[in-house]
Amino acid sequence: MAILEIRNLNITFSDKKKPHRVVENLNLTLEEGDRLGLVGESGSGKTMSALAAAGLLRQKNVRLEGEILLDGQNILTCTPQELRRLQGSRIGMIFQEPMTSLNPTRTIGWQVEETLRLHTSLTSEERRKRAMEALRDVELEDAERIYNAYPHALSGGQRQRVMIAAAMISRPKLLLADEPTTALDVTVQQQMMELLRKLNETYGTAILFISHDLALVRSLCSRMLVLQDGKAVEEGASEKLFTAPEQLYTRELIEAVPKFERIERAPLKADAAEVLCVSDLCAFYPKEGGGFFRKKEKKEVLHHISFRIRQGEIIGLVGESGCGKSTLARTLLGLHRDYTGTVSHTAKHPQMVFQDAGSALNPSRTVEWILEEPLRNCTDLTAQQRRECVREMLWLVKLDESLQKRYPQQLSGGQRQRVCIAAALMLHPEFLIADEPVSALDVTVQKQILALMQEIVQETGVSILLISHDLRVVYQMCDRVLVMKDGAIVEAADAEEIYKNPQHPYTKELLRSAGADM
Amino acid sequence: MKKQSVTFWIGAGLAGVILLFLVIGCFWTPYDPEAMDASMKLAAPSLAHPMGCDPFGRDVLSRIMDGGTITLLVAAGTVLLGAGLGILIGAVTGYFGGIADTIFMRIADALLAFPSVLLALVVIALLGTGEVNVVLSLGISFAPSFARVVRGEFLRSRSLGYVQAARLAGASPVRILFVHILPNIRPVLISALLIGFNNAVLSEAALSYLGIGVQPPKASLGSMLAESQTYLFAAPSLCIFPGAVLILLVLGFGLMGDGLRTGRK
Repeated sequence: MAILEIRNLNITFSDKKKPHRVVENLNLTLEEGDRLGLVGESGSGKTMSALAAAGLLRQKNVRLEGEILLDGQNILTCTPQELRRLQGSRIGMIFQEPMTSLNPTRTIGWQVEETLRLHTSLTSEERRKRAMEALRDVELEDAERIYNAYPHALSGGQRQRVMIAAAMISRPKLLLADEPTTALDVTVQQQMMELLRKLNETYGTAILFISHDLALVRSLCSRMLVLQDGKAVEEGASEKLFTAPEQLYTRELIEAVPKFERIERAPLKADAAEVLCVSDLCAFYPKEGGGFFRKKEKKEVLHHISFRIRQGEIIGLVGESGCGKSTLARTLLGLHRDYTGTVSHTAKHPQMVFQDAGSALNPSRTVEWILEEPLRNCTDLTAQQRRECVREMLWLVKLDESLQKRYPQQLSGGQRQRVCIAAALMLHPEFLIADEPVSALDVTVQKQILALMQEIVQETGVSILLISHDLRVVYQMCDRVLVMKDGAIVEAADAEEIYKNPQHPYTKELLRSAGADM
Repeated sequence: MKKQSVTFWIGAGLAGVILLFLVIGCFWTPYDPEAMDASMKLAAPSLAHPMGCDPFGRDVLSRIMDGGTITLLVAAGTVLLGAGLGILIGAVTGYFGGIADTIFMRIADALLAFPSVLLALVVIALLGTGEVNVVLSLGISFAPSFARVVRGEFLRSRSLGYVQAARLAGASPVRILFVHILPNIRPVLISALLIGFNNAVLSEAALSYLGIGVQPPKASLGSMLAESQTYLFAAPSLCIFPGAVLILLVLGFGLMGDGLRTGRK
């Protein structure tokens, strides 16, 4: 019998006046030990399907039609008591954001045991034993310490492992994994995938893996189901879908996955001027704690960094979260002042494109106002001239003029990132820092934004420092690459060179995690 | 303008009706609010005096219309002063942090440790009674709680992308504080203002009740309530009507604040 069977599922939200259908006529079957990938872009209804399957969508304003059979029982019609029992014993779920899905005021042990406490009659000793076992199962070293620790003391990867341990402790037959690795570094991502596969093979737990990252799905799942706007587009074996997709949309998705392919563009001019020269840069943060009157101690977070950028050049900066990439960016822009060494710009107004375009745009101002703001502050243009500049810039980033009266929240993610790029370019900077500009975007949009950035470099001759954790993106875009680890640059070379002939072991590891053939 | 919740509109309706009633009171009242008529002492509500008369034979309706305005002005002044000071201090300390933050917040802690009425008593003891001094004293004692709310919001906003972007766009600190960040904390601020307004109305009533607010023969809702307690059983209408106006006003603003808070995402 199938563990999970979804038949003709329709999900309709009715909180607004007009009902909004997010999932339409979805069918899927998951046998014991299956690994099924649910892929699609944001808004395709993949998370909603998973929440419905976990019985978490039985709310007033949501209409669910069809059947969701979990181990033969329809969770859409069973009583709340039955549902709770099913949720506790048959389903485990892990979420995207390990920071917020653990309760900060409880120890790890307490949270891992919670399911047992609710659904079994084990004694606290037995529960503790099972919890330690579960923690060891997810390959957490030092399970003893982690059992007693609070979530804030763990790294992102450790937290996600704890989430998996908590989800797996009652040996559920089905594990729902909603983008479980998206918030993690690439190297950690790879380890998580291996862990999921191991658990699947050891315990026969079926996995419904939801992701926008096709490469990840391919590496874990034997089958995948492609969703678009709430409808299933194509289903089949992962390999087949990858090599011979039948539907146009699937093909588009697969093509948009960044690969180790360079976007061709004109070579740099030999006499291109230098726009930024960094030498022997060290940056400091005040140490945590310290009293009111005691002298603050400092911690060096960037160690002796030197590099230069020439006009029209795109330089990639890769490294894991916490390695100091963002501190470097902030220091170069003058947002972080505590540093030694020299940073010399020729650029008058260095600018930045942020990772999260949603928070980088002032939510209470219109696009036009946001774009005019730099001109208002730094130039003497009249309102008429400013509006003219805004129109030109919108044209450059390929946004429709009608969007300028809108507020940021009325734009899509891709449009917002275009506005961010436009805002950064308003003062015609010679140097621009792009901090993970595409990592929050869907793959198809990602591709468009990267192409746009290439075009802008060609058109305006701006230099870009592109910060990314994705080596594939960096390889596509950049002339040179800096690899950063623990606040120091461990390798710096041309993009070709890094890819073909990496020197540092860390670079090699990054390349391997990014799926380069080596 | 976003669509507001039903709660907000009910509150706005209530507050609106009372406000209208009080605004009319500025220009016209059925009787002179301070004219006494010995024959009408403690008269029960009647057609001539819909809300009855007080122990001096003054028309209660006229006194509410007149005194309510004073209550309202005092409350509005208090909130403006308190919020003004609070926003200024909260914005600066929240955004810049550092030593100024530590000092101001410890002072705020100290002020918050006293009940606001007690604090107001001290100020009035120093400055003397009267509406202006009530506004001053309540305004100062309200400022710390506003500063707290505003500071938290600025602290949160400080690290957001759009603030960083504004810095890179060459905006001055003052511009960042009041043009970029302030509009974004509007929903929180409006809730705080409405709650503050309610507290101010009640505090003014409390001060007048204690006899150190608005001085007779002028009326305010609080002083009328204070006078009425002697005649609670003889003439219950004396406390019912000013009390009802006070309750409706506070309820109206309370619902508005509540509607705004729950209405936004």
